[in-house]
Amino acid sequence: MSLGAAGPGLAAAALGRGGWVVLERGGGLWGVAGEDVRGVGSGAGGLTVRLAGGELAADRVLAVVPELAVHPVPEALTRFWPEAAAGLAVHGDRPLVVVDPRRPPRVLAPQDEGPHLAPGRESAAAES
Amino acid sequence: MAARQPVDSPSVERDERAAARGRRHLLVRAGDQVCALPLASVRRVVKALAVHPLPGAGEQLAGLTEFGGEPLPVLDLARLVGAGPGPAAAYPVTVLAWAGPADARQAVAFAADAALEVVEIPPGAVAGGGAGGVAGEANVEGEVVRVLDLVALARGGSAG
Repeated sequence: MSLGAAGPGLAAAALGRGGWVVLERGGGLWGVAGEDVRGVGSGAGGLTVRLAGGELAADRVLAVVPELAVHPVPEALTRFWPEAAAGLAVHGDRPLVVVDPRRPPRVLAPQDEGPHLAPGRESAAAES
Repeated sequence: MAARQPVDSPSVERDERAAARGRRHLLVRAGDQVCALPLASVRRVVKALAVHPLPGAGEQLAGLTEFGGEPLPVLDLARLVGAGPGPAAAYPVTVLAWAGPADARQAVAFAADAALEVVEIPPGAVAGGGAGGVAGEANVEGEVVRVLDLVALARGGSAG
């Protein structure tokens, strides 16, 4: 299921389920396992995706898809990119990096200023 | 102890053919230099694929691309070998290749200026050590070319 560009509501559809949330940030695409997503909110600088162990910043949620064919991260990539990743995949005709929720890349770090998940602005929260 | 075999035996012919394949390289222009990629590792040469930059990447990594549903890193071949700028403003060619050992090969792409020709470069003709996937240099018909080591390119370790 690819629902096109949308905001927190789209990502909320993936909460507590399988599938993948495809984010756009810094001109690139990033995939986050839906089961890792705990909440999505909007702030002044875009969206904030809350995970069990932290938060991710996103410009927008591009899609929620049931499956991604995840490929291993090649050494030729890690040699020249000092970040961790759980794999590579393709969404549509664009490559994406599958995020390791324990070690997300710096470009996905929330900005220090501005609200991240202001009370009442969360679209969903899967924590019980 | 190795068994002697007549020179015309099929296994010797196979070995010779394999050795010949190992010597064959594709010459690729990248900036102001010519590089040699082991032909056995070259999958395809195509018109430049769309490259999506990866924030925080080193200058040798142009970004990511997609080919046939497969995601793969695109290396800037000129920057990888330390070449100066060439006449082309943008790299019009993408070379798809395998990096790493045969039993653990990884898909990789190189952004380059042009694929030139296939030549034979015996292992003994490669001089000097290399780093970052460069095996050394060889003289091909009077021109110095940078010979890539695509197995080393996929070994662990950051290029900084």
